Amino acid sequence: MSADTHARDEFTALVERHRKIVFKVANTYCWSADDRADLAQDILAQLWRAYPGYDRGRPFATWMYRIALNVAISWVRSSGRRQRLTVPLDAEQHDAASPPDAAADERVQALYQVIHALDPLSRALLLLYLDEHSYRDIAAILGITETNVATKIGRLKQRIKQDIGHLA
Amino acid sequence: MTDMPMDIDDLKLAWQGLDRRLERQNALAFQHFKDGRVRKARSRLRPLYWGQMLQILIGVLVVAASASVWTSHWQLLHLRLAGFVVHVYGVLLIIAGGRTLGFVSRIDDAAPVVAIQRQLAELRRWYVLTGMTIGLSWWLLWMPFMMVLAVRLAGVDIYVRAPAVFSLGTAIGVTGLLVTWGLHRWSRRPRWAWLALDMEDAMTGASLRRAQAVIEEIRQFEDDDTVHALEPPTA
Repeated sequence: MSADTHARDEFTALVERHRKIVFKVANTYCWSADDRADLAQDILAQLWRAYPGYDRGRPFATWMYRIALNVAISWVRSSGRRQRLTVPLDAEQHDAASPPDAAADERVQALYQVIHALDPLSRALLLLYLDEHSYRDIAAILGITETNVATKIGRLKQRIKQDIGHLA
Repeated sequence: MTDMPMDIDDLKLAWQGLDRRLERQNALAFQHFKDGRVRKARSRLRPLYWGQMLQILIGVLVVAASASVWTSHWQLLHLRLAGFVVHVYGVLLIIAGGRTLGFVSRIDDAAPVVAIQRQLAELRRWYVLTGMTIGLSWWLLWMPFMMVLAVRLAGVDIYVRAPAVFSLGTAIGVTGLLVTWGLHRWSRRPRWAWLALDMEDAMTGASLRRAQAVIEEIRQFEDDDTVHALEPPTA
């Protein structure tokens, strides 16, 4: 087995174990299935490209989150896609959500409403928080202090309370 | 919608539900990846990299051409000056290209998100600013450049053979630069704010404004270090 095939197999196994990260990031930054698939492919390709530089002494998930979020944020910031993301909320655009019951539907709508209103960096913070990462992990992935993470999450909670605390 | 109280825990619940559905939807994308059908990743900065390499190459050619003119016509002040000005411009092209490549080479995709986004935004600002400087300076540089080119390619000294062309060319350049500057100043009055914005957009393609807005957004994101009493998450 060649070194390249070995690296590819090793990489595939690691990505498979953490593949949800790719889908979660794609879901946070894209509304339509086509865009999500496009971004997921970009992330996977970028991960493979960066893999030779991966330091095996560090957690793979942290490395993967950093790359995935960077690809996604740059993707959103490219002007054309930014335009597409600023269209008003529309159920048809959010084809990820086809929840089986009304309460779940309401929660998903509220979730999209919150995500949609945030800037790209705050979206990354919310994604990591919803995924129940510790403040230390969030700080390591984003490159800000734990105190800053705590402050921002506190603000996000307040904002969510105000914005969707009581959906009517 | 029902009148249902909601908080961040409800959003977590929604998130977990979406998570399961999305995994099914995205299984195909991942299968493509496993089958080796994922497109080859190319650095998003590759076009910029090659653009800067080209700029450096042009800079080297400009330096070579201008140096040969001002060294071989040292006795003629106007050619010495024109050659020297174009020479300096060529050196600046090389320096600007080299610095941009330095920015590009320092970018590590696996660095923390905020650090990378800041580097990308600063790269963009630098790129737009140098592009604007290089572009605007042509108002004044085009005549010395034509003089160097005419001497180098045809052995013709425009300043001596066609002084009217030289004077007219220089006048057009100076007027063009002054008019650009004046319009910019004039448009900065509050009632012409829209024009100022349009002019800036025309000169920098709106890129500079966007790059500065992103840098400001990142700065604000980094600056929030106020202690906030919160319960830690469960993870």
